[in-house]
Amino acid sequence: MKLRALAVIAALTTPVAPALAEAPDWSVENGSRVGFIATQGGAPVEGVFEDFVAEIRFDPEALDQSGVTVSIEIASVNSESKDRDDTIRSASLFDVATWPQARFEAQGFTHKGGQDYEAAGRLTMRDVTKDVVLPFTLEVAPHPEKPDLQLAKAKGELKVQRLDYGVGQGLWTDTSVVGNEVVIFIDIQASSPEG
Amino acid sequence: MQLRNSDQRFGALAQAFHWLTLALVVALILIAVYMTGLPLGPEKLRIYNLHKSIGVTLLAVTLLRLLWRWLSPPPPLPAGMAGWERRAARTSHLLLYLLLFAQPLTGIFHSWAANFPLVVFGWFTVPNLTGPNPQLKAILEETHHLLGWALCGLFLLHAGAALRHHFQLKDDVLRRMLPWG
Repeated sequence: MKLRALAVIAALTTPVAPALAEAPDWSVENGSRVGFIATQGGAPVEGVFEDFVAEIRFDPEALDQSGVTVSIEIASVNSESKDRDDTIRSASLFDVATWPQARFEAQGFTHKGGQDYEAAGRLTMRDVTKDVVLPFTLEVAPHPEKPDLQLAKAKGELKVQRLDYGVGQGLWTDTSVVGNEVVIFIDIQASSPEG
Repeated sequence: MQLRNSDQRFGALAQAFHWLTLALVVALILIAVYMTGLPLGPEKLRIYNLHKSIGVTLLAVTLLRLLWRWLSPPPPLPAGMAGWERRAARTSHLLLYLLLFAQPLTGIFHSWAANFPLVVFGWFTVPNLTGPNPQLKAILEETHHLLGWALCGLFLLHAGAALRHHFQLKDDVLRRMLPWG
C-alpha cells in the first residue's frame, strides 16, 4: 500500500486556554485501508483506494475536539480489474480528470457506548457534498511494536447511494446491474504518543 | 420413442441433449457477437452475464450428456462407411466434445482471472477459484475467441456432414437424431 506521508496540522493549540483538552494527532500506519463494496449483477465487488491521506485528531476525553479529514485519490482505485478501475476513473463514474479526490470531513465524535462511535461529517464525491454519519468501532491499546506509542484501530462502514453523488452518468444511471447502494469502508490503524 | 439409445436410433434423452446443445451454442455465439459490440455500460455487463450463465449451463449439459453417453452408447455408424469417413466422424465428434468443455471452461476461467463475478442467471455466484490474474486473463481472452471460431467451424462441418449423409448418401444418420425421423 502506498500511503502518502501525512501532513498533519495541529490547529487546536490555544495559548489563552491551556486547560482546554487538545486532541492529539494520530499518524496512519501501513495496512490501513479505505475502500468500497459495490454490487455487480447482484454480487459484491470490492476495491480499495491505495492513495489517501487521513488527518486524525482524537482524544477519548475530548470527543468534541476530535475530528478526521480523509482525502482519497480516486485514481488510485484498485478492484483488481483494470477494465473496472478504468471505468471507475472515467467521466461516466468519478471523472477523476475533473474531480480527482473524494473527501470525508468530520469534527466531533459521539460515543455510542463500548467501542462504538459515530462521526457526523460531510462526504464529497465529484462535486456533490452531503451530510453523512459514519459509525465506527474504535479500540485503543499500547502499540505492539512501539512501546512508547498507542495504537488505535478504527473500523467503519457507510452506506451511500452512488447516484446521490452523480457517480453514474449516462448509461450508468441504470442501477439494475451496478447497484445504487455502495458501502464505503474504512479500516484504519493509527498511532500516537499521547493517546 | 424410448429414453435410451437403440442400435438403430438415438433415444429421447440423447436427442434432447443434442438439440439443447445446439440451441445453447447458437444462443452463445449470437450473444457473443452482439455483446462485444455494445458500448461499455450496464447493458453490456448484463448481456455478458447472460452469456456466462448460458455457458455454465452448456458445461453442465455437456457433463450430463457425456455421462448419459457412457450409460447408453450411441448407435454404430452405418455399415459401408469408408475408413477415412469413420476416422473423420470420430475425430470431429471428439473435437466437438472437447470444445463443448473447453469453451465454457476458458470462459469461466477468463471471468475469474478478470475478477468479474460469475453470477448464473442472477441465481447464484460461482466462487472465484483463480483470483485476479491479468496475464491469465489476456491469454484466456484470446483462447476463448479462437476456440469460439473453431467451434463455429466444427459445427458447420458437423451439420454439413449430416446433410451429406441424408441427401447424398441417403442413409439414416440424420434421421436417427430426429424426433420424428
